Amino acid sequence: MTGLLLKDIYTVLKQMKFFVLVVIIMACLPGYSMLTFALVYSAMLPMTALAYDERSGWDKLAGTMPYSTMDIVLSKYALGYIMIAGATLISALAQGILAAVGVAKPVENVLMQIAGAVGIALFFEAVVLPLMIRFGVEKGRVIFIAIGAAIGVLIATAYKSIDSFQLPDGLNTTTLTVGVVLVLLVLNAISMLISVKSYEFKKG
Amino acid sequence: MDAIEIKGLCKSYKDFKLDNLDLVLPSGCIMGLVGENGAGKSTTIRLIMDAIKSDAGKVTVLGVDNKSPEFRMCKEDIGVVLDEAYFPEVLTPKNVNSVMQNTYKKWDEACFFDYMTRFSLPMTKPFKDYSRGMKMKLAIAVALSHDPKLLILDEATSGLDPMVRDEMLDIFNDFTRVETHSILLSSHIVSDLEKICDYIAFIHKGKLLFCEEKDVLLEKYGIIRLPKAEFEAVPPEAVKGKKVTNFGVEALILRDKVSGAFSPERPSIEDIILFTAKGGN
Repeated sequence: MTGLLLKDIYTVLKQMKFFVLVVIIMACLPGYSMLTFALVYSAMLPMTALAYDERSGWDKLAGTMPYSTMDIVLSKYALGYIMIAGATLISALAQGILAAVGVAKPVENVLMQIAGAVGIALFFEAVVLPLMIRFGVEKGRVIFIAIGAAIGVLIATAYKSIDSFQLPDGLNTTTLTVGVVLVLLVLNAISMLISVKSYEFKKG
Repeated sequence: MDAIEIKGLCKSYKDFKLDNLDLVLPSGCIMGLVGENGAGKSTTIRLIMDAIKSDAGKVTVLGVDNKSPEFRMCKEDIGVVLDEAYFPEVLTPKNVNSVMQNTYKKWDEACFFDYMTRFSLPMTKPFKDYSRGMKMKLAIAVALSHDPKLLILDEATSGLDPMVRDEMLDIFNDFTRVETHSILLSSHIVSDLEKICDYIAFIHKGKLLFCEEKDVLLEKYGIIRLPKAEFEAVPPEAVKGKKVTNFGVEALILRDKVSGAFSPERPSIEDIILFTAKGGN
């Protein structure tokens, strides 16, 4: 899988330079949405690599090399995780420095914000990759936008109908965090399985 | 051990069917796979590599069933060049070397760099700036640089100028000097195949019309050119294909089915292929 990962990193290298710049700028800007944007943007790089693969027909060549379907699919997830980890590190450093000099919020708040943004980025990757692998980057993108819009409408409707939200009794922030992490892990594992099956299906 | 053994291979698409293909490439030999565009050559090659799923049939490569888990390791011993090079366009040969180093256990960097120098390919130029010929040369260099026992080449020489094509054919010939090395080579350029192949397999509209030793084919068939009236004396069972013009009939015949009086000429492989494909028309 190292070869595949290396190929993807070379492929998105130009974008990565821009990406590091964007992440640094976003991470330095105040506001949660900017931080989330930086991390979600990092989770999008595997899609760029997939688009390059599609354009070059790499999959046809990869099918003749000693890679398993699992290798080919998981390398894209691995690329996403590496990028998210990199963006998290840059964001944490930038926000930490800003907090230390008193420009940003206290460090604890910043860490919570980053954790939340990482969760959103992992969710994004788990949802988007199977779609892109199954339907191709162009179609997959359209389907994702449709699903994203539907989720947005649902959230907006739910938000309007709830006046005040409180955690149920016996459920504190720690248990909620552990729960979210577990859900994300399971979601990513399911996503990988679906992607592997989709890739196999595309073999005809 | 045969390098490739195919039995009853079938694959159907909406508008195409590869029908019950049987093929054997003995170890140490070069087989040319010929056929018109869309005849099923690339499909056959992709099925051999298990890059697409077959509907039926069995493929054994270097003694390994291509559906078995062991086939992944077996791919280490197979160098493949497809009809296009298919490397991501932003990669340079230097990048390709690093990727392949982490792909093939037996990747030979020195060998790869030697081929790059021999083919005069710049190491730091992105793949997208290569000409088609350069792209194919890079793909051939990659296929040869991990000590393969079997080369599978799908139109690998198309897009190359005659000088380079000739150089490639020499390289392929050298490759099979090791008696365990074999090549399956698909090409439209029949003259290339005639130069280096031991066996010729002809696929037409998804069916294998013949797969025989080249020398046997050349001895088995003959070409005759006769006026229409004289052609009627040729036994119909001897005629494998014919072309009727205002001047007479040109036909591919089985030598052992006609008397020496017709004095058949030695055909080229191209003649045999064209007449076999056209049949009686």
